[in-house]
Amino acid sequence: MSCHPKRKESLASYFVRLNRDYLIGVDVFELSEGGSELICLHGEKPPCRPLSGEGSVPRVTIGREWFNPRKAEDFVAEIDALEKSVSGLAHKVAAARPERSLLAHQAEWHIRGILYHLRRLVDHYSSFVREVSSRAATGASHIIMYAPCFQRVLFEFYALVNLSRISLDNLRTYLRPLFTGASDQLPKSIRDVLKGETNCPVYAALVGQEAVDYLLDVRNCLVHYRSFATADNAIVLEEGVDPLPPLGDSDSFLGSMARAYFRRIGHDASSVNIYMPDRIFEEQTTGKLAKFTYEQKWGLVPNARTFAFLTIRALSLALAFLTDTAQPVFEFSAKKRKPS
Amino acid sequence: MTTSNKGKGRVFQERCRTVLQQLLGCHFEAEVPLAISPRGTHTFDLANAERTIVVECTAVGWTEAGSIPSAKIVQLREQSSTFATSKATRPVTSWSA
Repeated sequence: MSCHPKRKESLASYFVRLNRDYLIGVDVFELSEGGSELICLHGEKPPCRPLSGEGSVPRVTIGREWFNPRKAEDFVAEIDALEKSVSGLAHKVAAARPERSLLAHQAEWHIRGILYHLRRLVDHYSSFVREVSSRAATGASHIIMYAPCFQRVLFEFYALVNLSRISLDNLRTYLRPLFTGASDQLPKSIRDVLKGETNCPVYAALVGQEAVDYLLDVRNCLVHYRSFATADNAIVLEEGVDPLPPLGDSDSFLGSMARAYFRRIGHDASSVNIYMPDRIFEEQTTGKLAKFTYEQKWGLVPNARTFAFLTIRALSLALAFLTDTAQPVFEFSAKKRKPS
Repeated sequence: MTTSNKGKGRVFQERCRTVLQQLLGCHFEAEVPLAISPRGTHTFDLANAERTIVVECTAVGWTEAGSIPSAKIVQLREQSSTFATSKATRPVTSWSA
């Protein structure tokens, strides 16, 4: 990369750093000279697993100064729009196929539950952002603060992750009337269903989705390996500063699995992010927890949004099939899907 | 033989197209004029078929003396404003490193 000899940064990185106000809603990538490595400098991160399997696959890394600010109001508007788009789906099923109305209302309950937790998560997160911003305004770069709202964010995330996972597992129940007799016994775990072969578009839409794998890993970690439990004090660091030294014996409890950081915007505003680990497990087969790193900057709130949206989309697609499809048309085979 | 700046730009544009096609899994057309206001159009370097992703490719670096190429930077800032007025859901800027 052609970095400035003194500034130690590329011109693209310099441009993004100085022109963030002009770049809202724009994604900026830097392409390495002679290679196909992309560095994401600003905006929406591309999928780590590229969508096309053809040709040499470009490697994507996240730039040190990467930044993608979003306003909480936009987020709430997105949730409102999603809620509007899925309202009444269960009633449509009940009107078209009365014998499936119980399944439809159960699926709708899950949709409403996920939206409930997502809204509360955003509310508590907004409180946390306000608390951090007021302290960041003093000029501090390391903030240790009493923050029950941080705990509440994690309560809601915990609930959202579990409900999303349960909803995906339950797809087999809702879709059972649409599977042919020979294959109506789908595996109980969504992970096992996705390993098999099926012509059902609801499952096809979930296969290979990085977010699904991450959701299942986070849920397995919370249930079987490591809790999200934290003290009601939060440690928030300004991005780019050195982390605090370990705080004695209490560090393991104070140190949340999710890390909070803030970044100053202009003179009197801050952007606050809670990051999730880049990877939960070393290898899916061994089930060994990875050493948690936070370089990919996976935000807890964007992750919660993605988990909620993909689960709700799967449930609403299942409801649409329950309305429109009279006979069993889908098949499932436990035969393992060939890796792409 | 030296390559002109325009030639370098074309080569870089083609590299961006290849990499973004592989990354995003969709085909990109080059030199796509799009209406950005009731009175004007802007020719984007790349755009997908649905015109939801538009791309500007920029092959520019620090000057040999280590200074900022001011004219290019001003031009890029204007391009960023153009993105804001386009209807694309995903405007992208690609830089050569």
